[in-house]
Amino acid sequence: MIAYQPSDSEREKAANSYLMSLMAAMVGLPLPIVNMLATVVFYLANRKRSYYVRWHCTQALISQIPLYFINTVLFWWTIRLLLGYDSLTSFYFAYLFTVVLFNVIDYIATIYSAVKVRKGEQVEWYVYGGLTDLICKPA
Amino acid sequence: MSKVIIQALISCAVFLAVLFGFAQVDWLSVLQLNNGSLEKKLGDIYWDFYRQQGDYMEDEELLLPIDSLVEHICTANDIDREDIKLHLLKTEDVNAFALPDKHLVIHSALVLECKNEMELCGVIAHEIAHMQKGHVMRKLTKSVGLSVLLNMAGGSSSEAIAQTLHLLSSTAYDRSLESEADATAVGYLMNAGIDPEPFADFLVRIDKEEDMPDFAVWISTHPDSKARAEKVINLSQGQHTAYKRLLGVGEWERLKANLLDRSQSGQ
Repeated sequence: MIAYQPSDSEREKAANSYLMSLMAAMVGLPLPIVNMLATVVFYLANRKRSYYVRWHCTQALISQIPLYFINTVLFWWTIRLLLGYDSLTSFYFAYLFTVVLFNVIDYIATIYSAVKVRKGEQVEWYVYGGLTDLICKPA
Repeated sequence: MSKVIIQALISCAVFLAVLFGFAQVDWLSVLQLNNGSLEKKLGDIYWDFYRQQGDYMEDEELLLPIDSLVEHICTANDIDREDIKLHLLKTEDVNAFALPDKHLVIHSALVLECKNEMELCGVIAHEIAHMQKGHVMRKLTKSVGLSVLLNMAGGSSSEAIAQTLHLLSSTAYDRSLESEADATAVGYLMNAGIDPEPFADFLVRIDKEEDMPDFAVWISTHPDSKARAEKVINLSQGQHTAYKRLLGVGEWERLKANLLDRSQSGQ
């Protein structure tokens, strides 16, 4: 992302995109579609704002996509287990703990990003930062 | 672009490495959730509950002949006899069923309805097949869900136990599971040198005697008995096994007389 000095309002909106992502991700672990929907709605609501706000909304949105898929697998696997279509296995717990670990890392990274962005500092996530640069261009 | 792709691949690799690492742990044992311990807990809960509902017969004169049949089938099929807990209950319902953790429950009325020990062996082999193939836990999990079973194992209301117990004792397995149990039972019988035909005869007889109230439970849990009997005959045909009787005629009749005597005397 190009060097830019955002206004206070922009910093607040950009930080909110992470907070929205965090809130949605917390609900989204048991019900994965929620975090995708909430982040998409927030992204759409802010897509006509400044490049700075759009950039962070985009980063917050695309960071949810891999989580959405791994959480969805966990969600339906758990449903199948509870309904008796699958047997409980050690691998299920291995997957559960892996998913929980990556979700926790996402929570921490999201809170860190929200705080930093609110202070006006630029935060670019591994993979997602570069991907956001490719997707989100200045107007 | 290539930098993003490389970073994405590294992220995927990290995810898989973490998953692989977690997968090295036997979580079911660590969390004490392995099927064996859950099944054992459920088996104990069900049997404790069930024995309070009916008269549990512990008389060795009655149990030993039936136990010898179970022992013979197990030995011939490399099944650990010690794993199977045989229970004989005094009741007028013609029924036999398997509970979790290999509790084999046989009703006295079923023994009295069998014309010889080979018919009884057929029923026993069928129930052992359900146990060995893991049908009991599969039926329970599929019917009530894992969460209910885990709740029950952790201490649950007697109503939940009664309802799920009814499921095991008085409702049928899936047709495919019954079919698999029949085929396995025929194999067990033939390995043990027991003629499967009397088992087929028993199935045909209960199919004809559908109007008899005593057979109500057994019929409801084992539908399509005539078709199953035909399958049992088909499976056993063409096999040249020398069949033998496990109990003498006198021994079998004595068992039934003792059972009838206990049933009528109310002991």
